Amino acid sequence: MCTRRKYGVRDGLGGSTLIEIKDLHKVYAFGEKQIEALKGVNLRVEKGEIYGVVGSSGAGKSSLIRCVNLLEKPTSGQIRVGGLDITSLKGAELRDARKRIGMIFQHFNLLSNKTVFHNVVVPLYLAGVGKKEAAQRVVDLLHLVNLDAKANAYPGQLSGGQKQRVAIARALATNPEVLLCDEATSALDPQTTDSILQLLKEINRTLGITILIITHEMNVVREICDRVAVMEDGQIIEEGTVVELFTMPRTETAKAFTKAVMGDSVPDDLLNRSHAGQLVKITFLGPHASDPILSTLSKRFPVYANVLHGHIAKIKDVPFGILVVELTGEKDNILAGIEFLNQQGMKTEVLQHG
Amino acid sequence: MDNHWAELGSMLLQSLTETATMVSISIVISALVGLPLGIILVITREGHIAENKWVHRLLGALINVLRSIPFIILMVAIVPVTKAIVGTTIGTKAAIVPLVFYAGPYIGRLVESSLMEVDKGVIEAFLAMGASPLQIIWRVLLPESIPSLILGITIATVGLIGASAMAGAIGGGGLGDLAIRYGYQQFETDVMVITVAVLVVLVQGIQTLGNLLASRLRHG
Repeated sequence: MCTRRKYGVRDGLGGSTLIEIKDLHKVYAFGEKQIEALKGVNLRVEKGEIYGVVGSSGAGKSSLIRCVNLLEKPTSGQIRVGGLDITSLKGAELRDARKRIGMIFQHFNLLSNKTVFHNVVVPLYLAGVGKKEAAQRVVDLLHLVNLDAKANAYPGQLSGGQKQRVAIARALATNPEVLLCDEATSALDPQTTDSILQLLKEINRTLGITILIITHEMNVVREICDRVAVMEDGQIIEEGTVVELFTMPRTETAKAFTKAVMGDSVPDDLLNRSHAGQLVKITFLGPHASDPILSTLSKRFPVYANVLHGHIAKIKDVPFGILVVELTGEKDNILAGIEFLNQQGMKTEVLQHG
Repeated sequence: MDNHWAELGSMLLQSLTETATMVSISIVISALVGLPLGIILVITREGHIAENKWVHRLLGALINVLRSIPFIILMVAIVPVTKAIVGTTIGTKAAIVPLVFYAGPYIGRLVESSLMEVDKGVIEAFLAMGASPLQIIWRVLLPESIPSLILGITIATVGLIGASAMAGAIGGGGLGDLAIRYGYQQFETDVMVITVAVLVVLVQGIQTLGNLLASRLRHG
């Protein structure tokens, strides 16, 4: 938890739990054959955070998110949303609970024969909101998702990104506490994905809506999530803040996922060559990423630092970077220098001793 | 000669009116019967919003039985039902009852196939919004399949025009009856040709109208 505070990633508002999943199992039966999609999943999503569940297809993440509003009925286990035990609800009670949980999908799922306006107004009608009030609310919602001019267009006339914006407006119509995103950007190109992610981030920030997002795209997690769980074979195998996941992935799956997005691997030819000094990989995180750390190092210790490779990226809004440097000088000085870097909050790893 | 054409004209007009009456009343009642049948067939399917294996199977079987009876036999077989409903077993009014028994289940199947085309994802989105089964029928299933439903009703209307020709056998009158009685049985070929020509125009007109309406309402 201390990593979160340290790197300025926002804590849950007051830290109260909004979604709590306990020992969730889901078994699908195909005749004789049984497939266990969820094998005892435990998860807590705090109020106000953006929580990501990442995993390859078939890992069970889709079953997991669909259990949260009971589109999928869990075989056993418990799900609480805002203190309410969802798994015990039926009929009208379940429908009322669902009105407090918005959801968007990979394929948008809009009414194709109805206008954008109608698509967004429907949940308001379902909730019993009067025509006039509903119409005003739709205007506000379309403004929020930046589609003011498209109220009378049909979904068929919109791009994928615009369709997802309509779906987001629709999901937000009834002021839900939670927004579930089921692979919401997987059908979109990278640029559109980015604009949808910015919108989700903005919604989270301005409206305080808690977002649970499942995805197989690690860049989605990096871009907007506060915390993340890695799923594999129906179980959560790793969980933590996004910064933790990217800087210190523990499982092989998490390492493979993060590597692909961060591009933080050190080029092979650097390692294969022999160097005069010590080859050190320095990982920067948060505010330190902008400190003139190497200059300070050289000033304080009789050590030369030669940059061989570098890369800077952002994890949510926290800068994150790596540098591979060759340190030359007296061995003791180099050791002291590395110690100094560690004291400054860098993570160091000696790749090659001189 | 003039007299002959005048007589033919008035006969045609009367037959056309009879056909129009039979078909229009039958199609309205059949649609009112067929629409709920089709909706129930779809929503009781496995995994749909009101899954019910037994209702689905029973209703499906009943529709299949009705649909497998040739119309000419159906007409005779349900004479007691016709008598109970309209009080008579002959005439245009009496023909409407077997026509509904014929077209109702047919429309049921057409509606079923139209509603099956509705994207499951949209239904799911509405479930997630907290919509009730009735709201899903009214807000999703029907609006999303309107163009397809209109085409289905068009097909059923054309089918009814064909079936109504046979209703002449129980004194239902209409264009088919005219063609058979004068054209076929009395060898007045010109009557038969003209009647058939009127039927062709009628069917073409209805189909064109249906297509036009469907494409106007389709936005997907």
